[in-house]
Amino acid sequence: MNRRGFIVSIIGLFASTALLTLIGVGKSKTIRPPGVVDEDKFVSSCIRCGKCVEVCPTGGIKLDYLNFYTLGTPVLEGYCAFYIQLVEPSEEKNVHFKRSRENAELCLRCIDACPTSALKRLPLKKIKISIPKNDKEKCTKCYICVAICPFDAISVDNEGWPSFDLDKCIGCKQCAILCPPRSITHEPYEG
Amino acid sequence: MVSVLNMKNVVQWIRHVSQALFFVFFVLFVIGTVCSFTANGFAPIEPLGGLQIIFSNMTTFNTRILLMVLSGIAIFVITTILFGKAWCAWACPVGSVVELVGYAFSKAKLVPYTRRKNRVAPKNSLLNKNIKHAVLGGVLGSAIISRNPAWCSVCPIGTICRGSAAGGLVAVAETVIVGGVVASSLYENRFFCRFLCPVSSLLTIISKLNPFFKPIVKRGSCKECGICDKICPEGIPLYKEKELAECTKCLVCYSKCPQNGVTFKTISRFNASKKMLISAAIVLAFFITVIPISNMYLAPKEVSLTITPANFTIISGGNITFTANLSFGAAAIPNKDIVWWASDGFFDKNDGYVVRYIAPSTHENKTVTIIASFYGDEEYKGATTTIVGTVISLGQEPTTTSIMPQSFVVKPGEYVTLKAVVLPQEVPIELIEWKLEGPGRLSNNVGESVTYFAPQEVEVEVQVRISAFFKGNVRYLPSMGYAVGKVSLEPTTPPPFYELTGECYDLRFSRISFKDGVVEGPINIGNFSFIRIRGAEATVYNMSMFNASLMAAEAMLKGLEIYASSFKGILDGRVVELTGNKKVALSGTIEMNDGEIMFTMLRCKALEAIQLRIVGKYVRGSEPYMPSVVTATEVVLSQKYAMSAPESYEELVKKVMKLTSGQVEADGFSIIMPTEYHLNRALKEYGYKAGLVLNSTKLTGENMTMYAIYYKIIVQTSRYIGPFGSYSIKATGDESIGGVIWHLWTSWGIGRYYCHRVLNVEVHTVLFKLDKASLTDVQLLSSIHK
Repeated sequence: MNRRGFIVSIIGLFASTALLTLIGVGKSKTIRPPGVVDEDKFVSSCIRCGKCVEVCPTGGIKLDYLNFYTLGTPVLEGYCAFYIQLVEPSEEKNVHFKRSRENAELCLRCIDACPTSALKRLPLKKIKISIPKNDKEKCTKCYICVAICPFDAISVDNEGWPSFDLDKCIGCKQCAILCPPRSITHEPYEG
Repeated sequence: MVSVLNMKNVVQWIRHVSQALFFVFFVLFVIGTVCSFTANGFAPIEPLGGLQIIFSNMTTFNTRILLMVLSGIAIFVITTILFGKAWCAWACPVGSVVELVGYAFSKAKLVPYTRRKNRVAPKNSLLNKNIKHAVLGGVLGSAIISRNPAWCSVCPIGTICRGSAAGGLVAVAETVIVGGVVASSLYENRFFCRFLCPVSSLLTIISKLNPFFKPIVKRGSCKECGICDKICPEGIPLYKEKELAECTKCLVCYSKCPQNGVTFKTISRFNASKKMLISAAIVLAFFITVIPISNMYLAPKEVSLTITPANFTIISGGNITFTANLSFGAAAIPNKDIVWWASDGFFDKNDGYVVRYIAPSTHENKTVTIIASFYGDEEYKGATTTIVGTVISLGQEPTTTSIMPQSFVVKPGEYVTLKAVVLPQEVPIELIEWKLEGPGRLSNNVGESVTYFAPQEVEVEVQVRISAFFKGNVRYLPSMGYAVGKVSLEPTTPPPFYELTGECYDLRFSRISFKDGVVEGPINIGNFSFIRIRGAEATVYNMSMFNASLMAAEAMLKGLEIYASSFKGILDGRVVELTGNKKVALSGTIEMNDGEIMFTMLRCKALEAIQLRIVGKYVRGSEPYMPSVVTATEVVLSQKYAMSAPESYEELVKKVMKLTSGQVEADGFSIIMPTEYHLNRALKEYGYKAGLVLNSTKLTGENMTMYAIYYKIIVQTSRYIGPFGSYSIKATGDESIGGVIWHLWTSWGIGRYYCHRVLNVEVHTVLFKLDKASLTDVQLLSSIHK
C-alpha cells in the first residue's frame, strides 16, 4: 500500500464511520421476536442473516425496512405461535389447546436458528415480546381474547373490560390477531 | 463444436455451473447461509459479520459469540489460503449477478464486454483498490462507535441472500442496493467488488498467504498484446505480475489469451517472507485447535432430568414432595427453570426443584401423570421427564365447606358471626378449624360458628380472609372454605358485592342421573357448537352452580334441558369429556359421577331441593337513585320444599316463586328492597306489588313464607362482524336458546356469532312475608303498596 492509498484509507475510514454513526441517530424501538432482553444488545449482535425469518412457521417475523439503523433486523409483525400447536391460531384451536396442554411443544425456532445469540435462550418467565393495550372505544367485550389466551393472562375486570396480567403475558400478539374489532394493540417491551 | 469443447471454454462453463449452483442454494432455497452455517448447535459466523459483532460488543464480552466468530474466521482463513479469492468468481451470488448482467449487456451490444478497458487506472488515481481496505476499516470502526453491525444492513451479499425471505418493501430496498452494485459494474467491471467490498478486502489480505493456482505469463509465447490486463475482472496487471493476491481464479485470462500464454501453476513460488509464513503457521495451528474445542464447548450438553420419587402411591387429598434432579454427568445443575405439570391435582408452586404435590380428592382410584420439564438454555439441552402415580381412594366421599356469609363488611369495632356449612348434610361437623388472615381476632378457633371482631381502629379499609377447614374423617374427605370481609371506614358502605356476570355457568355435581336422557350434538351456531342434554327427569346430588351460586345437596329437575358447551364426568366408570366439536349421541338412562357441565342455559320444569342457597346481586351502575340495590339471601331451610319453575320469564315473574317453610334461621342476613325508581320500573314492567325492606343480622321465623322472583338470564353479547359492522342482540330468559339461534340466524345469515359468551344474571328481588318472626335490628327503608 503506497502513501496515497494509506491516506485515502484513513480518510475513508473516518468518513464511512461518521456516516454510518450519523445514520444511527434516528433509531427507534420495534417489537422483536422472542428472546430479546435488551434492544441495544440485540441490535449490536444481529448480523441480519434472516434465518429467523426463514424458520418462523407463522411467517410473523419480517425484516425491518423502516429504520435505516436497524435495516434488515427481524421484527415481529405478525404473531408468535410460541407453541407448535398454535402455529395457526384460531378460537377453537386455542381453547382446545388450553384444555389439553400436556402435549404442548415449544416452537421458538427463531431462537434456535440465531447464530449469534442475538435471540437468546431465556428462562420462559423472562420472555417478553411486547405489551398489550386494549382500546376501550373499539372493544366490544366479546371476551374472545380471554378464551383464547394460551397463557391465561387475560381476565375480566370489575367493569367487564379485558385486563392483562403482565406477569403471565409474554406478548405473543395472538389476541390481537384474533380480536374481531382489532381493539388490542401491542407496544414494544421496554425493560 | 471444437471451439465449444475447447478446454478454455469448458473451464469457464464449469465455473458458471458452480456459480449457478451456489446462487440457487444461497438465494432461492436457503436464507442466510452465507452469513452463518448451523449444524448441531455449532454455528460459525462469516468473518466480516463476526468481526463486526465482536467489535460492537466490546464492552459486554460473550465467549460464545467470540468462539463462533473465531471458528468462522478459521474456516475462512484456511479456505482462503488454499483457494485464494476463489469465492468471488466461483460462488459469490453478487459476483454471479454482476457477471450475468454484464454478459447480457455485452450480448445486446450495449457494453462491449470483452473489448472494454479497465477504465479506472489503478495508479495515481483516487479510485484505487485500497479503498476497500478503508471501507473495511470504516465498517469495523463504525461497529465500535455506533455499537451496531451496520454494514450487515446494506451488505449486497447478505441482501441478495435474504431477498426472497424479506418480501415487500425490504425487497425494494434490496433491489436498490443490488441494482446499484450491478449498475456500477456496467460502468466499470466489478466496480463494487474491486473497490468497495469489505469482504473482498478481507479476502485480499488473507489471500497474500495463498501459494496455489497463481496465473503465470509464459514469457516465450506472450506477444505482449495486453488483452489479459484489459479483460481481467479484477484489473490485475498480469503481465507485470503485480497484485496477484487480488486474483479470483476466474481463469478468464487463461480462456481469452489468443496465444495460450497464461498458465496456472499448482504451487507457485511463495512470495511471502519468512515472517509471514511463520505467523500464518501459528494462526493456522491456533484456529485448527480452536474449532474442535469450541465445537465441544458450544454444543448444548445433554442433561438428565429425573424426579424422586420415580413412582408413588398417595391417598386422595394427601400430599407428597417431589424433587427434580437435573444433572450433567455426575454434576448437579442448580438454579434452572423447571416447570411442573400434573394431569390432576395441583402443586403449591409450578416451578422450582422441590415442589409439593397435592393429590385430587377422589372416591375412585386414579392414575395421575406428573411432568417436569427443563426448557434448556445456551449451555444445556432441554429435557422432560414423566412419572406416573396412583391416587388411591379410601372410599371417602368428597365434601364442600363454605362459610356463610361468604363476604361481609364490618365497621371498626364491630363484629360479625360466621357459620360453616359442610355438604353433604350428613357430615358430622365435628371440629372445624378457623383461621384468620388480616387484622382483628376470632372468638374461637374451633367450632361450628365463630365471631369475628374487627379491630377498634383502622387507618384504611382493610381486607380480611377467614377460612374454615373441615378435617375429614374415615368416611369424608377434608375440605376448606373461605369468607372474605372488609373492615370499612365508611359507615354507609353497601353490602358486599357479588359478581354474577361471567362467561357461562358451571354446574358441578357429585352425581347426576338423567331418566330418559338424551345427549345430542353438536348443534352449531356460527363456528361454535353446543351439546344439548335433555331428560324427562334428572336428579342431582351435591350440586353447585357457579355464577348464580345455587347450591343444593339434592335436587330433582323435571323436564330438564341443558345447552352445554362441554361436559365431563365419569360415565359407567369411564371418564367422559365432551366438548362442543365432538359428535355425541347418547340416550337412555345416563348417570354421571363427579362431573361438571359448562352450560349456557338450564331450563327445567320443577326443582326440588332439600337445601337451597340463593346468593345474588344486582349489578350496580345504571340506577339513578339511592344506594345500589343489592339483594343477598342465604337461607337454610330445614324442610323439603318444592319450587316449580314456570315456563317463561313473564310467567315466572307473575307467579313469584313461593318458598314455604316451617322454620327459618338465618344469620348474617341482609335484604334490601329496590329503590323507588327500581320498584316503579318493576311495577310498570312486571306489575307486582311489593312491600318490605329488611336489613337484619339475625332473623328467625316460624311458618314463614318467602316469595322470590327468580333470576333472569340475559344473553348479553353476541355479535356479527360483517359488512354492517357489529350487531348485538339481547335475549331474555323467556327465549329459549333455540329462539336466540333463530333470531340470530334470520338476522344476518351465516356469520360469526358468540351468543354463548356472556350470560348476565340478575336477581331482581327477594320478598319475605313473615307470619311469626322475631327480628332484631330491622330497618324499614321503604314501603309501597298499590
